[in-house]
Amino acid sequence: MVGLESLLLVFLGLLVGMIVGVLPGLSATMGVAILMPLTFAMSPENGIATLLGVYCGSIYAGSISAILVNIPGTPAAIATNFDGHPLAKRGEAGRAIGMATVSSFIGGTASVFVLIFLAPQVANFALSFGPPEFFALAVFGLSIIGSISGDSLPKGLVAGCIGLFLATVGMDPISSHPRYIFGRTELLSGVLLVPVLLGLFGLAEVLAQLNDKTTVKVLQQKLKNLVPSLVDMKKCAKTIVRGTIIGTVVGAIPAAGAPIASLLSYNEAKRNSKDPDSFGKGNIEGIAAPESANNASTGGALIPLLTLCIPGDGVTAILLGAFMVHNITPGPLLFQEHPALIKSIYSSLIFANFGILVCGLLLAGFFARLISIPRYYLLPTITLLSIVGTYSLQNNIFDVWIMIFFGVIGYILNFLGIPFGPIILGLILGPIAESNFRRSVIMSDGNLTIFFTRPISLLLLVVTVLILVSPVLKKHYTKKKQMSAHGAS
Amino acid sequence: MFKYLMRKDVILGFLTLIAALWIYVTSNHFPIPLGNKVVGPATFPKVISYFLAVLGVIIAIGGILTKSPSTIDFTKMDKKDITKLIASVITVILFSIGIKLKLFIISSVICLLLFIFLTGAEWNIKDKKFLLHLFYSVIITICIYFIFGEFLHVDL
Repeated sequence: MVGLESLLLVFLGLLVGMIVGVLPGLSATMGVAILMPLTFAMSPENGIATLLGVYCGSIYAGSISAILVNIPGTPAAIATNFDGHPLAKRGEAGRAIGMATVSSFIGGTASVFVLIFLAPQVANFALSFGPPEFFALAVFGLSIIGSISGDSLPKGLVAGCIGLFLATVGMDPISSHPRYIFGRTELLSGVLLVPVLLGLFGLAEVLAQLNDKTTVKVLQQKLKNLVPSLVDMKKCAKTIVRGTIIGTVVGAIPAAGAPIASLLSYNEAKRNSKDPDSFGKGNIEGIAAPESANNASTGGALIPLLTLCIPGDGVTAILLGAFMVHNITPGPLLFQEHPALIKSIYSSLIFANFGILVCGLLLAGFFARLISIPRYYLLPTITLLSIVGTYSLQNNIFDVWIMIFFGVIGYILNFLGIPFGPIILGLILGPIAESNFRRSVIMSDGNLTIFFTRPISLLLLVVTVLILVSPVLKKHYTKKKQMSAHGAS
Repeated sequence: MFKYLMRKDVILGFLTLIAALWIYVTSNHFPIPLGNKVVGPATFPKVISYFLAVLGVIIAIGGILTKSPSTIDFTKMDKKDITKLIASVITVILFSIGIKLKLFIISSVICLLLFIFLTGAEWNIKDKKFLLHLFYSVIITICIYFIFGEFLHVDL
C-alpha cells in the first residue's frame, strides 16, 4: 500500500490544488502543469500521488469561488454557479459549500472504486492489442480534441496538428534521421513536454491576463452550517447517486470531461425534480448534482488514461505528460510492470477524496479568503515558477528559451483563438501514433488496409470519425430545427 | 479586400497555409525509404501538412463568410498594454539570463518586483505598499530557492 510520505504529499498537493481551484483565472490544468516540476526529484509513486492531489483538489475547490463570487474557479464548476451564488446571496454560502464538499467526496470516492474494479478488466482486454490497434487508439485519443477545442473545431484541429508536428521534431523513431532540429543538438531528443506545457499554460496565460482589468467581488459572510443537515442529505441522496453515475461514465469517455459531466448531471437533476422552477434560484440539489458529477469524473477519466493511454480531458492529458516525465507509459502493461504504482494511485485518490471532505469542511473559510489575493502577486509567482520549473528539468537554460518561445507563441495563438489542450495532446500522442503507424505498415508489407481489416482498430477509427463529425452534425441539426421552428412561428 | 485581411480567422487561415507549405517543402529533404518501406521520416510531416492545408482553407473561408467577424485593428490597440507586454517578456528574458549567470536570488527579487508593477500594482517607492511588494518578492524568492535549490538540488 501507499506510504506515509505519499499520503503527506497527496495532502499537500490537495491543499495546493484547492488554492489553485479557488482562484478564478487559475485552472486545474495550469495547477498540475506548474507543480509538475516539483515532482521531478520524487519517485513516480510520490510524484503522481502529489499531482493527483492537485487534480482532485482543484476540481473540487472551483465550487467555492462559484458560490461566493459567481465565477467558477475551474470550468468544472460552471453548473455550481447556477444555484450556488443565489444561495450565497441569501446568506447560505456555508450550506452551499458544505453540500458541495460532501457531494464531491461521495462522487469522487465512488468513482475511485469503479476505477479499481474496471481498470484491470480493460487493461487485460487491451493486452491483445498490436501496433495497428495502438495506432487507432492514439488517433481515438486525439479525437478528444473535439471537446477541448472551445468554440471552433477547425481551430482545435490546427492546434492538434501543431502538437503532432512538434512531436516529429528530433530523431525519427525508426530511421533515426534528424528532423526539424535547426542544427541544435539539444533538439535531437525532441521537443520536451515540460517547457511547452509551462510556456503555454504558465507564461502565455500570464501574458494573456496582463491587461485584464476585471476585479473580483467576494460576498463577505460568515460560513455557517457547513455540515449538511439530514434533511438536505435526504433531499439530495438520489441526485448525488445519479450525479456520481453520470460523472464516472462521462469522465471515462474521451471527448467529454468534468464540465460536461457537471452540466449533464445538473440538467438531469432539474428534469427529475418535483420543483424544476426552483433551479437557478438557490436549490440545494443544484449544488449536489454538478459537484458529485465533476468529482466523479476524476476517477472515470483515469480509466482510459491508465489502461489505454488515452486522456479523458485536458487535465488528464497533462497528467499523462507527468507519467511520461517519470518514464512511465500508461497502458495495459502498466498494470503488470508497475503494480505498486497502481496501488499507490488508488490509495492516493481515496485519501485525496477524504482530504476534500476534511479540508473542505474545516478550511472553507480560509480558502474563501484566498479569493481576494491580488492578481499582481499571483501572476509574477506563476511566471517565476514556470521559469525555474523548466530550468529544473535538466539544469539547462535552453529549455527555458524553449519555454519562453512557447509562452510568446502561446500568447499569439490565444489571441487568434487557438486552444492549448490539443497541442499538448498532439505532442504526447504523436510519437505513439507515428511509431505504431509505421510498425503496422512495415508489418503488412506496405498494405494500409491493415487498419481496416482488424476489428478493434476498425471500430476505434469509426468511433473517432463519429466523435469528430458529431459536433458538426449537431450544429447542423440544431440550426435546421431552429429554422423550422422559426418558419412555423 | 483589405477589410477581409484584417479578420482574425482570415489571418489564421493564411498563417496555417504558410505553415502547411513550409512543412511540406522541408519534409521533401528527408531520405526516401528503401525497399518495401512505403513510410519514411517524411510521411508524418507530409500528412500533417495536408491536414493543415485543408484546415487553413476552411478557417480562411469561414473568416470571409462569417457575418460577425472578429477583426484586428492595430490603430485601436492600447500602446500602454503593448508596452507592458513587451516589458514583461524582456523581464522574463532578463531573469532567465540571471539564472544562467547563477544570480538567481538578486535577479528573482528584481524581476518579481518589476512584474508586480507590470501586472497592476502602483509604482510609488514612498508608499508603504512598496515595502509590502518588496517583502513579498523576497519571501517568494527565498521559498523558491529553498524548494528548488536545496530540496530538489537545482543548480540555481
